[in-house]
Amino acid sequence: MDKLVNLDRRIIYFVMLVLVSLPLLSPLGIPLLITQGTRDMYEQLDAVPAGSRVLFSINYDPTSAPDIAPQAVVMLDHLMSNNVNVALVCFSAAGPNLIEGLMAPHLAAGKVYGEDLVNLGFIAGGETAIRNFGRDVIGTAKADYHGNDLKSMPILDGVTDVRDFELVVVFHGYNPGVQEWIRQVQGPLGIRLLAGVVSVSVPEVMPFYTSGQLAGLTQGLRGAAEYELLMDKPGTAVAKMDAQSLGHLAIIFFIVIGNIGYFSTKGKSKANKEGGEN
Amino acid sequence: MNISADPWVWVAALCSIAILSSVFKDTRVYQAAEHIFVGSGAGYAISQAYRNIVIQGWRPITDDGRWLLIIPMLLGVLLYSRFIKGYEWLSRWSMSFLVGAGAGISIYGIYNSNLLAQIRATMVPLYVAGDLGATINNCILVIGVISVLLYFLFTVSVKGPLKHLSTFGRVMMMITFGVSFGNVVMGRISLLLGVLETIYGEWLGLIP
Repeated sequence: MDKLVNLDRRIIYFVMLVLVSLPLLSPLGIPLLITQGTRDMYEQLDAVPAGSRVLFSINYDPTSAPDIAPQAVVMLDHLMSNNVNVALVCFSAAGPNLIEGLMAPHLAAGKVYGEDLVNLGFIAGGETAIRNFGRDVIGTAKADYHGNDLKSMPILDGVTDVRDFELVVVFHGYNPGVQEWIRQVQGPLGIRLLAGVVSVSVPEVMPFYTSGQLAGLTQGLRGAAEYELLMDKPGTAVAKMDAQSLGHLAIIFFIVIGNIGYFSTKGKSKANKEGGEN
Repeated sequence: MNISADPWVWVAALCSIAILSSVFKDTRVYQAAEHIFVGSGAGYAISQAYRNIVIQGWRPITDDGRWLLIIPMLLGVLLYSRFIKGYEWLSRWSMSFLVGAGAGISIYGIYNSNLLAQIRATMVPLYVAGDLGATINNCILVIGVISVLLYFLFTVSVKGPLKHLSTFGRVMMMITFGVSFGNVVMGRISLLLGVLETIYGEWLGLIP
């Protein structure tokens, strides 16, 4: 039992590495239930008419990207395949290059920059910037990421505030993110707001979905996997969920054996203590 | 196996392995990768900040003649006065402006969206005809909110049956913390998977 309590942490890391690596290399196909939040998200995006505009607010950076970028990828694929135009903006400095990475495959596939997609770049100012952007899109962004004039771009033709977009989807890795969008734009302007969030932020954001302030909510990598299943195109996120499941099983196993070891040695040390006192 | 020929994929993969090496030991390789990450991150942030100042501040003044923008530009410059001995107090003007404007902009939104809308969302019927699930959910929601609020009631001593409700509030919070921790674990595994995807997929070409 002492060995269980003093298990070398490197053994835990190694077991974890093996368990999450195997399904990545050879997916197991563990079933996945689809949450209502993801269904709502899918239905809302699927209902956007071709030729309409949707705004993506990319509020994550490379450190949180593995948990949330798959959501942005699969949703952008969905909208592009439905010929919906998407403007992407970010309120964190790391965002513009992530947006370039999201747009690249679609531009390579023939979508036209400025007509089907646009990178509005990084707007500094956090919550204040989100507020101003919500009320004056072109006046706040001023130019796209490459310095081009926004007024000449067909995708933003006739846009004044964010109500001119069919939907706004916020991808939230950290603040400023969903709460700022709700406070400054969704509440005052009454837009339809949807959110994809990192797993860590789910408990913080869930009350806004249950209250109806968010029209849809996808949760971390799992949300991306669910969305891939709804699109009937299982991809890397689904494969990663197999690894997630095995990783969770490993953690549960280690918690259980850790507790068994703890309570066993606790009883033993208590007996030793009583023996010593006698 | 189809190893990538892209040198940047090699850099990403090797830096990832270097960072992961800290699991076993705080090595020089790990320290080097960490310094590269911090340095490149800072450099990138500076370049973005410079671009923002040019697009949001400088060009509107020089190209469009919006001279009033000089005021926020000056307030921004004053923030750096804290590094000049004897003139540190000047930065307080900028800070006062930032704090005042930030609070003013946030207050309405917090009351409207974080408080009123959330209170409204807890005003739900405790019995939904023909929907047992909704009935149970609504009861948990309402009793949960009341019990947690009761737990944080410090002005009077909570006694009798109310004490049980307060204890129930504590249990609800414990469950919430458990959910939060579970999500944290899930998020961290996702990050690990992202790194492994770079190594196995983009670098070694092992993922189909």
